[in-house]
Order: sequence, then C-alpha cells, then structure tokens
Amino acid sequence: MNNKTSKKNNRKRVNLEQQTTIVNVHEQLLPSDPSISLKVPSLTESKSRMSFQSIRLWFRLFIVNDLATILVLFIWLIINISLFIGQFFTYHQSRSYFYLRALISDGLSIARASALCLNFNCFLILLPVCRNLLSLIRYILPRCITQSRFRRFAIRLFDQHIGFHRCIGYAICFWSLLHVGAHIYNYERLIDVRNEYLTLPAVLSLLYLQSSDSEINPFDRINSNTLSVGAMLSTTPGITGVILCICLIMIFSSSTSLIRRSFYEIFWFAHHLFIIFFICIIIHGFQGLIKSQTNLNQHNPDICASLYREWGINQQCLIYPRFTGSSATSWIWLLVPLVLYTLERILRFIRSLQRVEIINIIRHESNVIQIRFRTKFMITPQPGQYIYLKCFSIAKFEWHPFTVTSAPEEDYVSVHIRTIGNWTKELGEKFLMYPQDIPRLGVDGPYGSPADDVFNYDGVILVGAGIGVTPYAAILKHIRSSQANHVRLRRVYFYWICNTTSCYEWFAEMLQQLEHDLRDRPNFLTYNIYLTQWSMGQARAVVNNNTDERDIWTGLESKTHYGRPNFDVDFQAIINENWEMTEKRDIGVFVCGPEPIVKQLQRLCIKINDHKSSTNKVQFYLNKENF
Amino acid sequence: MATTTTATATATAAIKTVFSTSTIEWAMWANEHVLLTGYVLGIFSILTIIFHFPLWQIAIYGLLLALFIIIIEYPRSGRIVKKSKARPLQKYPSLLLTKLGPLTRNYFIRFVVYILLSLPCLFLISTIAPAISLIIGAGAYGLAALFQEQWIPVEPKTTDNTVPMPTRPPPREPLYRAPSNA
Repeated sequence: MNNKTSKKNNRKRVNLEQQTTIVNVHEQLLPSDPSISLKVPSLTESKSRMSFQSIRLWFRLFIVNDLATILVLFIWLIINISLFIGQFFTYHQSRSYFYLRALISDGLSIARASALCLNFNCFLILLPVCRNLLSLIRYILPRCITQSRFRRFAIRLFDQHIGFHRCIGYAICFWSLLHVGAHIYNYERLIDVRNEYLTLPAVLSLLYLQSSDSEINPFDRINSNTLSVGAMLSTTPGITGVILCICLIMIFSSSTSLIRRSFYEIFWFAHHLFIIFFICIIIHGFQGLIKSQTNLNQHNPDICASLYREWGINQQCLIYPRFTGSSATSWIWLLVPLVLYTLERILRFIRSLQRVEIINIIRHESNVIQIRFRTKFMITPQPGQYIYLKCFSIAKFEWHPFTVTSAPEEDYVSVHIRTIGNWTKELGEKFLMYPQDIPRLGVDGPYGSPADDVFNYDGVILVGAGIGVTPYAAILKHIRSSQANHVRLRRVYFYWICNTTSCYEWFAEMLQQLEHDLRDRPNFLTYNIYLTQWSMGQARAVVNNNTDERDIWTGLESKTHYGRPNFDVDFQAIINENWEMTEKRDIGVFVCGPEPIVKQLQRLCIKINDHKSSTNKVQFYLNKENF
Repeated sequence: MATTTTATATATAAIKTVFSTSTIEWAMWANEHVLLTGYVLGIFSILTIIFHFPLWQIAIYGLLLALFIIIIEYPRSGRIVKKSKARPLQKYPSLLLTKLGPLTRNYFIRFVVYILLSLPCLFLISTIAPAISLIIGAGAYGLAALFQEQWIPVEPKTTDNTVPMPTRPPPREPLYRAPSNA
C-alpha cells in the first residue's frame, strides 16, 4: 500500500534522478515531436487532418494576416478591369469612331482601353514610393482611426508599399503588351490599306482629297515604296512608343530579384529611366492621330457607310465626314504624382545637406561599429524605424538603410553597422582616423512604422531571430526608459534566437546593462536566449562551465538554451503564471525574423485564442513586424 | 595592344567613378535583359505571323531568333563571388552550352553575334523595339567582355548529408523558477 501511494506521488513531481523533466502542459497544445523541422507539421496537418478545425484555423490566419492587402489589391484589380471594359465598349459602340473602326476594327478599342488603364496605373505607381508622404500619412493616421485593430490593419498596409509598387509595375507591363500589340495591328492595317481598291477603307483613305478636315488615315499619302517602319517612326506616337518600349524592357530586366539583391546600383540607375518613360508618355498623345467624326448630324455613318461609293452624289450623304484628332489626356493623370515625387526628391536632397554631428564612434567585436550622431532637423526616431546613411567621400549617390538602435529618450541617434559589404568596409576604414578625420555623412529619415504598440498590452513577448534582433535594442531601451509612465505593461518576455555566438555581442552588452538596471523589478523582464547551432568545442565549454552563475556566451544571469524554443510549452507556462490580475490579460506577440517562425507563432496564437476564449483568461495578439 | 589596354583602362575608370563601391558583373544583367528581349521578340513575332502583315517573313526569322536567344540565355552563369541560383530546368540547355565550349563562354562572341542577328528585325514595326533592346543587351555583353567575364556552368546544389538530423529534442530545464510553481 505504501509503495503504491509513493509511486503515485512520484509521478506527479519532477523526477530529477531519471534525468527527465515532466512539465504540466495542456495536451492539445503539445506538438507531436518538437525536433521535426518547422515546415513539416503544417504539411502533415493539411494532408491528414482536413478537418473543420484546420480549415477554420487557415481561414483565421488569412484574415488576421492578409485581409487588408488582399482587399486593396482586389479593389485595384476591379477598378482596372472596369476601366478597361468601360472604355472598350465606349469605343466599340461609339458612332463618332465608326469610320475609324471600319479601317482598323477593334484594334482601336483594345488600344484605347489599355491606354486608359496605363494612364491610371502610371498615376498610381509613383505614390507608394514617396516615402515622406507615407510617413506623413502614418503620422496622421493614429489620430484619425482610434480603434487599434483597424489601425494595425492600416499601418500594415503601409508597410507593404513596395509590394504594391511591384504589382502596379506588373500591371503596367501587361497593359503595355496589350496596347503595343493592338497599335502594331493598327499601324500595319492603316498602311496596308493602300493595296485595297474601291472598298470602304480605301474610300476613307482617299478622303484627304476632299478637304484637310476630312483626313482619317494618317498614312494616306505615303509613298508605296517606303517601309512601314519608316512611316511609323515619322509619327510622334511611333517614335515615343519605341522609346517607351525599350525603357520599359530595361526597367523590367533590371528589377529582377537577382539584380536587386546583388547589383543594386544597376537596379537603381536603370530604374531612373522612368523619367524618360514619363516624359515620353506625356508627349505620346500630342499628335492626335486617332480621329473621331465631328459632323455626325450632317453625315450619318449608319446610313452612309454602305453607300460609300455615292458620297457627294447621293442625297443623304452629300456632305463628307469631318474628323478631328483626339487630344492628349496623359498629362492630366500624371501631373499630380510627378509634382509629389519631385517634392519628395527635393526634400530628400535638402535633408541630405544638413550637418550631421558625430558624437561618438564605438567599436564592438565581430566587426560592428556603433555611430552616435545628432542632427538639428531630424524628427526623433521611434523604436523600430530606420534611417538612410550616405557617405559623401565613398559614393555620392548611395543611400544605405540601417535600423535605429537608440531609444527616443536618449539625446543622440545611434546605429549599429556590421561591416560585411563593400560600402560598410570602406566606412569602417574611414572611421579609423576618428577623431581627426571625420568623413562627411548625410542622413535621411526616419522611415518605417514605429513599434509604439508595446505599451497597449499587459504583457509583451518579443521574438527576434537572426538579423531581426536589431530593432529590439531600441524597443527594450525604450521600455526601460519609460516604464514609469506606462503602468499597464507588467511582463516582457524576450526571445533571441541566433545560430552563432559571435554576431551580436554588442547586443549582449546592452542586455547585461538592462538586466542590471531592472534588477529591482523581478519578473518584469525575462530573457530566453537560444543558440541553434554549436560545434563540439563549444558544447564541451558549455558542459565544463555548467555551474557558473553567468552564461559563458552572453554574460547574463539567464543562461542560454540550446536548440529551438518550444513556444507551445512557454506560452502555456505564461498563461499559468500568476500575474496578480483579475481581468483578461492582453498579450502582444512581436515577431521579427524568418517566415517559419512567424507562421508557427501565428498558428499558436490563433489556437490558444480559440481554446481559451471560453474561459476568457488571456488573449494573444500577433504583430508581425518587418523592420 | 597598347591602345586597347588604355581604352580598357579608361572605360574601366569611367565606370568605376559611378559604380565605385561594388564589383558589378555586367554579364548577369545582360543575361536577364537579353532573355526578356527574347520573350518579347517571340510574342510580337507570333502576333505578326498570325496577321500576315507585309514583310511578315521577317517575323518567322524573328521567332527563330527568339527561340535561339532563349535557349542560349536561359542557363544562368555561375558567379565569381557567390553561388548563383540556377533557373528551373536549366541543366538541359546548360549541357548544350558547355559542349559548345569557347563559343558560349566568351561574351565578346555573343556581343558581335547578337548585333548582327538583330539587324533584320529592325525593318518590321512589331519587332523594332525588341531589336533595339537586343542591341543594348549586346552592348552590355560587350562591357562584360571588356571586364573579361566568362560564362561558367552552375552545378546543382548538393545537399549535405554528413550530419543527420537529431531524432530526440534537446533536454530542457523547467523554464520558470518563479515562486508560484505547483
């Protein structure tokens, strides 16, 4: 009897002698095997369990993540298609274009409809790249939208502005293809009419003999020996069209991801061909080659088209048709975005001229330089924003982005630069002579959306993986500096997942400082540092120094864990922890890192929210930050 | 020989003042550009063949030229500094290109051949824009030849099978040493 009760007791407590740990977890949350790579569970889920539960999970994921973007893209697509169809049928059924349609049939409608869509998309394409305009909207938006859920949707939309720019670029390429194809057909057809005799198109092409007002075919007077190419190149839309095609092909070919990532200068300079592109678009419609009929009441095409041999003779068709060219409308569409973009570039240029006062340059291990500077006219960067740096003595036209690592309460702005690329290595060499030889720097910014949401929650889980850990320097410093002002935040859990020990040693110094500063508030800040790859030598060092008070890699009191974090277990422990609160806790989860981690955390948050919603104890909100 | 070396040196110096901070491989951009031109040329040649405009026979030549360009340009060259990502199904034309040896390795030959081959396409409305952009792409290849770049076949990625994935999770301590433990 005694043996049985003692065995029962043993099973419930942690049993250290057997070297296993038993943790209280809710069974539904524990994944089958945490050592399987992060991608596999989703596959097994979708293949074996297409149950109602998993469909609902996928749907919730989709709404939480992508709904705003998909909605905006859908609306934009609908506008495009309706513009095309509307303009197509306008030209298809219009009586004033009857005779032109007799010459070139529906090539006219397709070309004009795709031209309208091109105008619309060229109007839109410059707007997502006006960074200062977007910063202005991001600044005004929280004052207009007060409910934080819609604010989060809207802010996330602005974070994807480059994605929208690319979609609109693809649309421009597609409509250009349609437009150029239709106009090639039109050109060839208009020139080819000279081979016909006594048909309606032939009669129309001879109308110039009647009066100069009655010309409809721009190629009615060309020599039969000239090449059609030559005839096309003598018209304004022809030659601007060829230049536009070439510019578009060059812009498209230099914007592929290989060129953008590896040879950024080619991308940047080739993309500036858009200036020629826009100028040519404005000039493109000036000649007014597309003719519409003006005297419809005097000469009715419905009656007179079949009587084309008797124009001027038959009583109904005495008067010849008169035509006028359609006016150019592209400049109306393009005026506002061009003005906004020009203002944007002027603003960036003026900002680059302001004096940057470098306060200090600190060198950290593993090739990291910290630059602290101050400028007079820059807005204080909020945590999570980034700035652009330019060094005049290295390259006059290159701006490089860096995340800001200083909190807004400090009186300087600091960035940590890792010297791995050519530009950063040269910058490191230029700073060797500090403080004698200070190179001249230009600063532009701050851009990006600030992570000021941290204070709206009761607890915050910050997950930074790999290179995504840089903005958390600023966020953690910000939390430390302003903890007195914001009483709602009670717990901060910081996860730092890294695969080497050496890359972010500057960050470890900062974490030690924070640990020291917050030692009077126990349980406020918890570090969980995970090292995901190690060599045998490192493993031996860990085992030898296992009983040290501080960790050997980071020097913090909380020891480094090895392997990947098990978020299911951790989240469950956070839920079970006693926070001395009675009402429902709002916990914000901030992730910055590669996609698999974000997806895993998203599924987990939705699963927990679903499960716990009945008991109403805790609600998790995931914020995916792409800094 | 002396004049060509000084010409090379001045050209290199001119480009270095603008693109000073990185090593640009012009061949990579030229490859993307000429491949895209091949696609556009193919589309417009097909359009011309369907409608039988005057001089449409040039469009047949254009279509054949487009197919030729796509086959030669589809395999992406390997890079000096990093490993380049191969395009899908690249290895079949890549086999052909390695067999041809110096004809495809040398970018100067591509420069000359593309300029010569694109000249007939300048005489048709539908293919004049792709032809001009092909000349520009050939010019980029000429720049690549100036910097003595070469076409290198890309080896397929070999997965490293030496270290097997662990089958058991690493041992974990209990996470929270908070006083309110059950």
